[in-house]
Amino acid sequence: MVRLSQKRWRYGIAAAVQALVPLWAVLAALIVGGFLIAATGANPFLAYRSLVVGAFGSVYGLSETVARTCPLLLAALGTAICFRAKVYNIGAEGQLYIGALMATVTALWIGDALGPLSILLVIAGGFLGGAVWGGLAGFLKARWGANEIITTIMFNYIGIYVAGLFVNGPLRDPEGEFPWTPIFATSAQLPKLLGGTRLHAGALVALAASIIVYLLLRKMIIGYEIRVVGEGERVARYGRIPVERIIVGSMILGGGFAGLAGMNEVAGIHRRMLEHISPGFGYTAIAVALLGELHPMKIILAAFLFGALEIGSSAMQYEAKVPAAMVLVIEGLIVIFVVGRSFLIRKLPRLQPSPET
Amino acid sequence: MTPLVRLEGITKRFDRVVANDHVDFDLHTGEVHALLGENGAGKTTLMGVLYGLLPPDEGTIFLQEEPVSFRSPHDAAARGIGMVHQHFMLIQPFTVAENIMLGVRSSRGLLLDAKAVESRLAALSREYGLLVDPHATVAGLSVGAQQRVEIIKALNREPRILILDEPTSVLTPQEVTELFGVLRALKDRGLSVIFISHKLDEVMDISDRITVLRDGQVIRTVQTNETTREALAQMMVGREVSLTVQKPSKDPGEPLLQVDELEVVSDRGTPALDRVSFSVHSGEIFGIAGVAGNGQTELAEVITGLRPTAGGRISLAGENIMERKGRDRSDRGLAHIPEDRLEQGLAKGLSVAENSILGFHRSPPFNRRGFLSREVQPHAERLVDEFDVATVNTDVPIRFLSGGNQQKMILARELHARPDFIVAVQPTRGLDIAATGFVHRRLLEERERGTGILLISTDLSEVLALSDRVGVLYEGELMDVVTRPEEHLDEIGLMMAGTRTASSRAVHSERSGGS
Repeated sequence: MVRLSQKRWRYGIAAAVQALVPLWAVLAALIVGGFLIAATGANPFLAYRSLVVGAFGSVYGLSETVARTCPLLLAALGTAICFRAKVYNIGAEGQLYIGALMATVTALWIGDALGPLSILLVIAGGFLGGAVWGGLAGFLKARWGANEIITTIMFNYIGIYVAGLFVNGPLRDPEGEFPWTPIFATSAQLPKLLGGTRLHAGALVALAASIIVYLLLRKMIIGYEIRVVGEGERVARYGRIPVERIIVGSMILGGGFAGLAGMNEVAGIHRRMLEHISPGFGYTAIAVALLGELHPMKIILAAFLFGALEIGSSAMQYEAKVPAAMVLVIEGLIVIFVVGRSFLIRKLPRLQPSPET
Repeated sequence: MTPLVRLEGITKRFDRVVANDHVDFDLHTGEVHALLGENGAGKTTLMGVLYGLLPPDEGTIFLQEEPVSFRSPHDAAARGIGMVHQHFMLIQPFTVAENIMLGVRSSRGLLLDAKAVESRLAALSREYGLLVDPHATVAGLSVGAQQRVEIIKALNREPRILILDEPTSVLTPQEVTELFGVLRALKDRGLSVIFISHKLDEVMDISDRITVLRDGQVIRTVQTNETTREALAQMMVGREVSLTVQKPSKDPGEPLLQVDELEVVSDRGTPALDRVSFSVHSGEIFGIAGVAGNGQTELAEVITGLRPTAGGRISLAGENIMERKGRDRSDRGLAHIPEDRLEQGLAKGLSVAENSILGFHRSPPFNRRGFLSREVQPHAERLVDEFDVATVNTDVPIRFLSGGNQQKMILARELHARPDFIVAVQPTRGLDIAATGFVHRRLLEERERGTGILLISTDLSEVLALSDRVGVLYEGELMDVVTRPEEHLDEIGLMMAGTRTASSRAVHSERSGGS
């Protein structure tokens, strides 16, 4: 029994070390980023301090960070569902735009007609738009084996410009000076949670979505099948899993959550649809999903980190005279270190847990 | 006469597996020396050592009695050793001439000297009758022509020794004849050839001497004209059955699985099974023996519904099961212990508990309105207890378990549903003795229970130890079915090497005459 408990103990330590790897990746990226900041002639400690203060130091900063976290989180959840099935959906950006478009169409059409129920339909519209856009690429892959990396990237362009077409054309506010739609009716907006900030009920949607995706992947049969497909087509077929249906299904679900990110922006932040609704949330979401190891709960933390970096960057630029774009460099470094993590694990075989008793 | 090459006491281990065990081998100038043995006997490993691909753990290589050590194939090539691999190392979109140029220093520095290579190619073609068009793209060539390119590639470096690893396995009979013509021409010009094969007829035809390898050891080296195919077959297969299994005698029951005139196409589009017919009774273990790659994988996949048939009929307990897609056949009580544990039988990143329901996860009690039920955990724990699977808990990813414990988990999962029929493919590959014994005992218990078992294994001793009857697969054909297999070892060995025995010839002609 002594030896057994020792083994358990060692397995626990090894598992814990592995679980902490994303933190090391972030730490390593911040250290390398610090040297780069120093190389620009600025003080890295001051830079990071102002970044932290900017992101968390005030109610306003914190509310902005949370508002920024929401679209990243929603799009990353969608990406994670697909990546779990080893379906490499790079199309969260396009799915986000079509989701935003469908949410907008729903909101403008429904107005105040349904009262408090309106927003629920807007949310559903956002999900549906993204789901259709993602499902299309999934269908092409399942039916004809079209490489989803290529199709989803191409669908990004199509989606972004189709959305732009509508904003410039049929949905354009005739009185507006910019290509944007009219403001949504109040009941078709995500309500504000805190006066004087842009914090809105989208945060609750994102939180709920995280829990739903967690349950979906961990507790539901379809999530189980998605994960088996991710382990390989041969084992999935052996396990009586309809692989094609799971590929399409994961793209529908993944696209749906990315669509919610677009809905979040139009119904929560801008209260209308604009031509450039996303500064690349759908692409950053890939990094967020990977940093979060495709696990919904860890993705919340990863999205929050990226949100904080992006919000804190302007304070960093103002206070420490470090270009805000340095944050993008740090994000890139995080991705490199996360991807390099598997290398680290291979090189340190002693970290491999050995759970047999 | 001193040999050109001499290998002395070569030992090569991979982890705990000994691939070559103190192997001695020599090669004289101008001879064809065949290396004969079953798959996994250690032939390719031995040649890998000689060609500098694998460093030996023990032993020495002598070139004209001078000890040498090769750190890479480049070293070996520099000392006059050339090798044609079983899997061609050609760049498909390149032309023949471009492939030949690869890895050869150009006389024009950074520029290719295409002219020189082409004239050299033409000379080699003429000299040995190796006909290929230098400007043809490799991808468009037949397999036989691609092999000629490989041989020219090797000859271009002017070797004294040419190693050919299973060169005939991909060739048509006509191409084999052509290849043998080339080999004789090489021999006449004083080249020495090492010819690796598991086919008795070819070895008898082309070689001067034969060394038989089995389980990594040299059984004997003989002069070809002083031996017979039968003697070679016996050496290849061996007499002793290393596994001792207590197998109670038992009368088989009703026929359960019936396979009629089954035809299947392989992934490459070539016929993999050619009108295979047999039946397996309840309470019977029907073994399929054969060298790997003779249609065993396809047979297992087609019966379990993972591969479509090209013709024929499969029925289980009287019902035609061909309409049932994929593993829906397990609803008919068909269990499948697959060949590839980690790529097919288990989702390696998922936990022990999650793997314990794979394939059964959509049915009650595991599926509760789309959610995994609370039954999964206790179910997994029961299986772990019953099959004595060593694991910290049922939440660890199954890839962290040893091969033996993974296989026990597959058995546990497949047997818990009390199947009527089991297809077991290579059920003990890579397992240690204890785990192997466990798997064998469980299969025999199933046999006692009246389950029909189709055991497909390239481990002949396993097939012999467990099976009530044995069928031999060779190039997609079921050569013959042998009852009381332990008494017909020589015959089985011969059939595994593609030679029909008197009785199987009779069976075969009767069958083809009747169809």
